[in-house]
Amino acid sequence: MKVEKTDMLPQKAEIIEIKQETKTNLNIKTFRLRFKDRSQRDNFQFKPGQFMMVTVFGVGEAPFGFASSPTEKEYFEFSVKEVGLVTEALHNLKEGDIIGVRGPYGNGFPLESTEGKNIIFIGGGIGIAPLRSLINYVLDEENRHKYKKIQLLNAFRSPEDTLYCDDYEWWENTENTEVKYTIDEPCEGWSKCVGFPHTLIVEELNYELPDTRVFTCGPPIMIKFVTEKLRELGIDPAEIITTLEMRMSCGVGKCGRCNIGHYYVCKDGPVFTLEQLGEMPDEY
Amino acid sequence: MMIKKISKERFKKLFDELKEEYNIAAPILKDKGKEKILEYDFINDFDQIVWDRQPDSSPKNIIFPQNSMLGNDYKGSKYYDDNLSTIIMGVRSCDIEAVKVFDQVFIEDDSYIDDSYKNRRDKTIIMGISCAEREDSCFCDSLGLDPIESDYAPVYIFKDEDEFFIKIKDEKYEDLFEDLPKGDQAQLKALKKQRKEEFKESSFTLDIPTPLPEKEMFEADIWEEMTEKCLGCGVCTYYCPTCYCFNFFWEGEDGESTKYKSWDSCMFSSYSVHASGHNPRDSKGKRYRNRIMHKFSYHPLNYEGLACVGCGRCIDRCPVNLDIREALKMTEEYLLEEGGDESGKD
Amino acid sequence: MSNYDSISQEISEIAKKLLKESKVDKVIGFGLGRFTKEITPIFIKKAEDADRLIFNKNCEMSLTKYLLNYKGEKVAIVAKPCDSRAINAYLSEDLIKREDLVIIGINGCPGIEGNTACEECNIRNAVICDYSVGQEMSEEEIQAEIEGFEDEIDKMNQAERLAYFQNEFERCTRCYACREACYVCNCEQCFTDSNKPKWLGESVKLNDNFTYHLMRGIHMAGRCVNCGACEMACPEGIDVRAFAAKMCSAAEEIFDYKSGMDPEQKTLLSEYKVDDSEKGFME
Repeated sequence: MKVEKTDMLPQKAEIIEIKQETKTNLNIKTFRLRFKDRSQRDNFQFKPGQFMMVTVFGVGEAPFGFASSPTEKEYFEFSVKEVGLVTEALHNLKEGDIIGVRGPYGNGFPLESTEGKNIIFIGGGIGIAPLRSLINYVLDEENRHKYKKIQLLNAFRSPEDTLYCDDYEWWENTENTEVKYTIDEPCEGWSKCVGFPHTLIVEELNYELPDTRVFTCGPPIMIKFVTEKLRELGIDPAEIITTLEMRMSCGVGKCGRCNIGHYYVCKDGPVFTLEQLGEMPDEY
Repeated sequence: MMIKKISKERFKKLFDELKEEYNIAAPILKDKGKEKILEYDFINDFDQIVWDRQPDSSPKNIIFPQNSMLGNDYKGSKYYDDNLSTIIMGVRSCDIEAVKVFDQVFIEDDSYIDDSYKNRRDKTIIMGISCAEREDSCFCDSLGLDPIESDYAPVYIFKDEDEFFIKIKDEKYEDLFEDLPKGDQAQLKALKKQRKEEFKESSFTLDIPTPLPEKEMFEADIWEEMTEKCLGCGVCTYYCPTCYCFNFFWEGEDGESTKYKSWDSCMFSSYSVHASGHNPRDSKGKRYRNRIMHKFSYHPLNYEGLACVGCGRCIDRCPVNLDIREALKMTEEYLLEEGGDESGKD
Repeated sequence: MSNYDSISQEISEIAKKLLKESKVDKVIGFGLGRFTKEITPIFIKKAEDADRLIFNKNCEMSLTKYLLNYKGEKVAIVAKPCDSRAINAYLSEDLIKREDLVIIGINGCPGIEGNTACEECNIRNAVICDYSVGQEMSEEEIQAEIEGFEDEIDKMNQAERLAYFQNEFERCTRCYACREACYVCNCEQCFTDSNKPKWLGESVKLNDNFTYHLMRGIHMAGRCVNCGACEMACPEGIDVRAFAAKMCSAAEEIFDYKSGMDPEQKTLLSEYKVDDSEKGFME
C-alpha cells in the first residue's frame, strides 16, 4: 500500500533527560528532548506558548505545550502529568527512548507587543509549564532588558507538588524580578504564601504598575477566579493573557474537536486574551 | 464548453474505454442484509450504475474514506488501481458542493494543505448528474443550490430517458469525449428548463440569514429540546457528505506502528473529552449545537458558503428520524422571537 | 391482534387525560415529523398536542431508554410489549422509579414492519402497564403468529456461520447506532470508549468490528428483550440482533429465563442457583 507524503506523520525525537517533578500527590515528569536528525535540530524554531503533538509509537498522540524556552537551542522540554493513555505511556519511557513529535503548532504568546511592559505571571500546577517557556525566555540575559518589572506567582497544591525547583534560584536572583510561591493549605515547614492565587493578587503582587500585562495559566477553575479578580481590579482584559487546553488530534484546525465557536484552539490559540475569550462562546 | 449526446449503448462503450485508463466509481446497489442500499463503489460494469435516484451514501466514501493509512485505502477494491486517476460518475449537485467544502478545508486554506487529501483529489474527476426528482428529505435548493446543475463539476451528465447529454465544462477533459456525437445546446437548455419547472417545491425554506449569529445561538436554550430524541450515535455524521471530522489511530507496536486517519463524529460523547475527564460538550444538545453551528455558522465564518448541502441523508438515515430541517426551523423561530430584544442582551 | 388505528386513538385519549389532569409532565410516544411522514419519537407536554400520538407499523424505536433522561420527573410512556419488558428490566435494576412512571402498554402488538424480531416474538401483550390499549392476545393466537418460525442461523454449520457474520460485520461503520438504540446499552462508559484498558481498535476492519459485536452480544445475555431496535437502527442493514437473540434463546433454553418479565426479577447473571444447568451453550 502506498503511503503518501504527509506532515501528519511525526518526526523522531530522543528523550535525553527525564526529571521527576512532583513527589506524591500528582505525577508530573519533565521530558527533555532533541530531534534525532541534526539538521532538524538546527532548524527547529518555536515560540513560547506553542505546542507540539507528541506521539508514543503504537499508542497515540497528544498535545503538549513547550515548557522550555526557545533560547535553549540544544533541547526542548515538555512537562507531562499522568492522566490518560498517552501520558501514562510517556511516563513509562526511559531516557534514550525515541518518541514522535510534530509541530510546532498554535499562535504562541505575544512576544513583541509585551516588550517594554511590566509582566505578571500567575501559574497553577502543570499550568506553569507553558508559562515557564515564556518566563525563561523573558528572563534570559539576551531578553531581560526588553521588559520592565517581572513578577511571578506560582501556585501548587502542596510543597510536594512544586515544579521546576531548579529554576527558582535563577528566577529569584534575576534583577527587578520577584517570585512568590503559594500552596492551597497551610503546611508544616512552609513559610511562603498560602491560599489560592486569586486571593493573593492584592497582597502579594504590585498589579497597579502602568503598562502591566498578566499571563495566567492553570486549572480552568483557577483561571476563572484569577481572571475575574484581575478584571475586578481594573486590569484591561486585552492585557490578561491565558492559554487554553482542549482535546486535539490534528493541531492545524481541521479535525474538528478543539473549536470554540468558529475559533480553533490549536490554530487560532491556544493563547487568547481575556478580551478575545469574552467574544467567544463559553465552551471550554 | 462542449456538449455531447449519446445513447445508453454508446455510453456503455465510453465507459469501457474509460475504465482502461481510470478507476471508475459510481452509485450501485449493494446487498445489505434485508435491504439494498445505493452506494458509490468502484465498478467494472456500466449496467450496474443506478442513475435515477439519490444514492444512500455520498461519494465521501471514495474521496475521503473512513480509514486511510494517511493515504489511500479502499479495502482492496478489485476495481481500484492506485496508479490511475478516478472518475466518480453520477454525482448530484448536493454531493458536488460537499466536495467543495472538503476542498475549502483541506486544500484551499493556506494555513494548512492536507497532502493526502490533495493527492487523492488531484486524481479525481467528478462527472455530475442532473437531479430529476426531489426525494422526500432533500432540500438543497432551500439552501441556494441548484439541483439541476452545479458549476463545481468539470463534466456533467443530463439523463433524458435512455439518452445522455454530456456537458464538458473543463477543456482539460474534452479529449476524453472528443469522439462522441455532438449534442444540441438548445435541446439541453430546454431539458434543463423543463426539469426546473417540474421540480417539486421543497416543503422547507430557510428564512434566516447565515452565518447564524455565533454567540446568540450558542446561548439559545433550544438545543436540549431539539435533541430530546437523539440517540447520540454517529449516523448523521458518517453519512453526511460534508462532515469531515477525523481522528488518528495507531496499529502495530512501537517503531513499527502505522498511523491511520479515520472518520470521527462530533456526536459521540467521547469525541471532545479531555484526558482529565472534563468534557466541554457533555450533553447531546451541546454536541448537536456544535454540529448545526459548524455547518451554518462556523464554516461560513471561516470559509465561504454553508457546510450543509441539503442532501437529507442525516434525515433518512437517522434511527429516530431527527430532522435537521426541524432543527433549523426551531432556530429560525428562536431568532425571530428573540431577535426583537437583541439590544437588551449583552 | 389489535389494529394500529384503534391503538393510536386509545393512546391519544389516555395521554390527553393524563396531561389534562397533570398526572404526568410529558408523554413519550410516537408521532410524525414536521417535514417527513416518518415515524419519530415525540414528547408531548400539552394535552392539546396529544392527538399527535400515533401507533403504526413503523414505530420501530424502543422508547424505554428515554426514561433514563427524566429521572425524578413524572412521565408516561407508550410501550410495545418488548418495551414493557425493557421497563421491567430497568425497574429491576433500580434505574427508574415505578411511582414516577405511567405505562401505556400495547396489547396484541401487531408488530413492526421489517423488524425480524417480531417474527419470533411470543410476548405480544404488555407485561407491565397502568393503561392497556389494543386487545389482549391469547396464547393460541400468539402461537399461531410465530408458527413455523425457524432460526436460519441455527441451521448453519460453524463455517457457514462464520462466513455469514463476516459478511455482515464487514459493512459495519461503527456508528454505534445499534448500541445507542438499545435499552440495555446504558453503561456510563462503553467498553468501546475505554482507552485504559483498550479493548478495541479504532479501525473499521473486520476483526475490530467482530470484537465489537461479539462483546456487545455477550453483554446482552439475560438482558436483551429481543426488541430488534438495534437491527432497525443499523444504517447498513447488518444482522446486529443475531448474537443478542442467541443469548435470549440460550438463556431461555438453559436457565428457563426470559428477561424483563417481572419488575422483581433478578437479572440472569446476578443470580446463581445450585441446580443451574452447567451446559455451555457454545457446545
